[in-house]
Amino acid sequence: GRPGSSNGAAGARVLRVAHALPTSHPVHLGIEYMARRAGELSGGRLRLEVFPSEQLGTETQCLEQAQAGTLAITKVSAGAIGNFVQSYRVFSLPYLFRDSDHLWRVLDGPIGRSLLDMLAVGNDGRPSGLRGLAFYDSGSRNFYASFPVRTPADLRGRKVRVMSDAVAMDAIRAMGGAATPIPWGELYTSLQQGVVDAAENNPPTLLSSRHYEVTRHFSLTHHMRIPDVLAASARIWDALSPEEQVWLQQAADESVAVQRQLWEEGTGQALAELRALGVEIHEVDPEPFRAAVAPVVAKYRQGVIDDLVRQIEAVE
Amino acid sequence: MDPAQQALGLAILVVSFMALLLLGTPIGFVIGIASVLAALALGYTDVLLSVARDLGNGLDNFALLAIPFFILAGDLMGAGGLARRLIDLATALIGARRGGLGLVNTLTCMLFGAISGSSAAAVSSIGSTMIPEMRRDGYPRDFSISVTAAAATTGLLIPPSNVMIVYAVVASNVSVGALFMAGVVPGIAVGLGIMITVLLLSVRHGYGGGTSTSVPPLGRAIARAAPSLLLIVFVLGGILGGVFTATEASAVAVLWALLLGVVFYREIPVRALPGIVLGSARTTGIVMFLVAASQVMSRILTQEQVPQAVSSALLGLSDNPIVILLTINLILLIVGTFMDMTPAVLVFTPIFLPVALSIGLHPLHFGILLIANLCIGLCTPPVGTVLFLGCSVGRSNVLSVSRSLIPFYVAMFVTLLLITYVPALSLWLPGVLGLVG
Amino acid sequence: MTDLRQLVARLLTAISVLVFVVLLIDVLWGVLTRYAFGHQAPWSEELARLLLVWLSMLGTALAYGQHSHLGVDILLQNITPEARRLAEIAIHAIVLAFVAAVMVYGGTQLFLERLDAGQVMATLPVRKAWMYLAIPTSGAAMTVFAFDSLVSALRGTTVAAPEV
Ligand code: NA
Ligand code: NA
Repeated sequence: GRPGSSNGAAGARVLRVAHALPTSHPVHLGIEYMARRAGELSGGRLRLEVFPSEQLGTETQCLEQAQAGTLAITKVSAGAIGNFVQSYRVFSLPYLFRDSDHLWRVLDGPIGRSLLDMLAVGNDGRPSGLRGLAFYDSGSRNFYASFPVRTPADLRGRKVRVMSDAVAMDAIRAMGGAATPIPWGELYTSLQQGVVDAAENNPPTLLSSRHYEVTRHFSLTHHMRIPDVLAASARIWDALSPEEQVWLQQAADESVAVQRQLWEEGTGQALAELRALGVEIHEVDPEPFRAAVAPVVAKYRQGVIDDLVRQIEAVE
Repeated sequence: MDPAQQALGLAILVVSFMALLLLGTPIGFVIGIASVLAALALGYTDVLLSVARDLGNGLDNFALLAIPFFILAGDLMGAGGLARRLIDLATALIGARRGGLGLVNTLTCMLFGAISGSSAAAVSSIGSTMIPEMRRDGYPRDFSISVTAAAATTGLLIPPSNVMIVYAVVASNVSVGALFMAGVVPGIAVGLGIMITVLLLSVRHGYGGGTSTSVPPLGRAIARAAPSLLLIVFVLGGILGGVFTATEASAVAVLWALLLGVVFYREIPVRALPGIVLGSARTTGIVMFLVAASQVMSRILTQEQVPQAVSSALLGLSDNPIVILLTINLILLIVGTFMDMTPAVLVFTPIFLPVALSIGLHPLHFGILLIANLCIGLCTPPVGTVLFLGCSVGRSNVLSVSRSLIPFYVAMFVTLLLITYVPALSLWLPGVLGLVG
Repeated sequence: MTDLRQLVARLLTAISVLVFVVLLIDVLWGVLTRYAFGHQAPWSEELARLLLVWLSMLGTALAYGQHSHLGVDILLQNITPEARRLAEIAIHAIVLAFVAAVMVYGGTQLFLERLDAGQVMATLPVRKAWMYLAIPTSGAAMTVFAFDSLVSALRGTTVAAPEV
């Protein structure tokens, strides 16, 4: 059979890994490392083929394929998982984590482990068809625009491009901006021509998308920290032998540290390059923004999400 | 995977594709069925469900929305009496002279094609008026059809253009707005090439003396055509002015065409609207099913890493970019003779774009090169939508028209070489507008 | 059978015109709300994609019902009428197999799988499965058309495309 996996010529098992980011991206480099380690650990019996840049579809489409067992592994933003596994909506909440250290203490601890386990259970309690392998770093989201964003007042009346996500849209509106769901592919022209006035993302993505060419100010609000998730297809995982499962999990675990290191370097480099390219980078006091989005957080703090938020807040 | 099984799977893909195509199966089904057979041979699991999913995923894309809207806008403008007004304007601009009507025909096709985004609409609506008039003015029938067919293809390069949207979607990360701007200069260049050919041939053979042409006063012609031309101003101005995205612009174009045809020109009765919408829905289905089916095949090609293989084969052929580009152009010209524009863009973009990028082409430039190339194919037998429409509107046969098209093929090919080797033709305008990202 | 074909064609006509009109209003509404109310309706973009999939699939069936899909007919034009009839039978049978197996069967499996997965759309309170339902729906209509065309071709009568 070939459920996103197949038997290679030398009897190696081939697993397809797909994601949406370009090959220069720290996430891709992390996945490449995982692929190399899986090959080494298994003595060549496990071979990971990586398809970057949406070659096999968008993030959501790849996740669907993994659920169905036609793709072995995918990298997806924890925010996008919220449509499949409701608990993951928690990650879309603005200022959920105090800082990067807080985020990693949560994800490296029992909450992170249980969130990865939760990935296996879909919205109505049935198996989701997924298996969480690891969390990857995706930094924090910050505003970029042709003007600095120092306080929520700076966003008043401005059209802000936002991901197609209910929580994110509410958060932008609470900060004073007009949330505009422009597709990613149209964002460069939209910023250039003024269809939207601002957008938000992490430093490496601002650099690789070249949106800095049309937005000269980058304001570090850190308003969202949404990690990436490496998810395997449960169907393909279950078809692996116990030792193959160990190799794969170990390769994923080892790649986490490497990816985080790459992310940190990538972020530093991106900020330095952006500065060299003439982008003004502003350190911002997050408190007024945090206060502005408090009603949004309150609105979505219900049921499982509320439990999770309380657990996360309790982590030192 | 097992190389023998992979070779067998890909052979099945190619052979069943060709066999089904020659049998006369509609191309969308050719692509879909060949892909299913290949997937089965390659040992993929859950083939039926996965193919159904790929069909859906191929359509689930906001940028593709512009396709039904530009189709509907074009249909509304066709029904709204746009052709006659544009012909009058072109006549008033060019006047009565040797080859005059031929030039008028070219210019009108460019204008209509530009506005409607459809070369098929241009050749049928302009051709049905212009070909008889050219005949009366002493132009040979096949020559008149040839001019119309060749000129109609420029509408795919001059924005708005549905095939550009298809390319932008397949190439990913290419902005539709920037691609639109990249097509302006090359589209006009192809039009000029055709006009020069018309003039040379008309002067040499003494076609058209302007006897039967009545030249309307320029002011009145402009006034009557202005509302239609405003569509371009609205669409491009709206995009450049940041009022809406290229995709949203297509919906605004429909609104404008509706107001024009129903309220302003009053040539479309309200009760005719459902029929027009229905026709556009059907055309949408034809284009979008091709888009969906191609998604299925392109997944197989990607998973089996065919583009990488083609790319390294082409790059191994020579390390000279000029030779590689010429090779790509020749392959595309052959493809264009037997494949229609949309399926060709869908199938060959993922294969050739990586090669083009690796020799330093900008994705906008490659898109324009690809479309300009396949435009020639629209006018060549055995498969050429524009050629066939021209022959049926002008009542002639495909072979004799193809013969009289030869000088126009040459003109289009020369322009194609210019577009290929002078990137500035494509990149200058979007660069000036700051759209080259 | 031809009665069924006409019924299906009429249903397709009505639904696709409706979907097209709603789609147009939705996209224009998105632009309008951005300027009139300062923020765009969050669901307009996702609803547009949902309707686009439906419009495309319904349009595909409409076009098939009227034999409007593009094909290469050099061979068909240069063979004897009897050979042409055989080729047409083959084409109808091949298309029937594709729409029945992939679009109706595979599409239904897909719809059920997505319904079961509980995946919801990001800004609309509906499941993603309803987007995919367009595929088996279109497939069912085309199955009717293809079967009808196949029977006609086997009987040696070519039925003109119904007025849609
Ligand atoms: Na055009
Ligand atoms: Na051709």
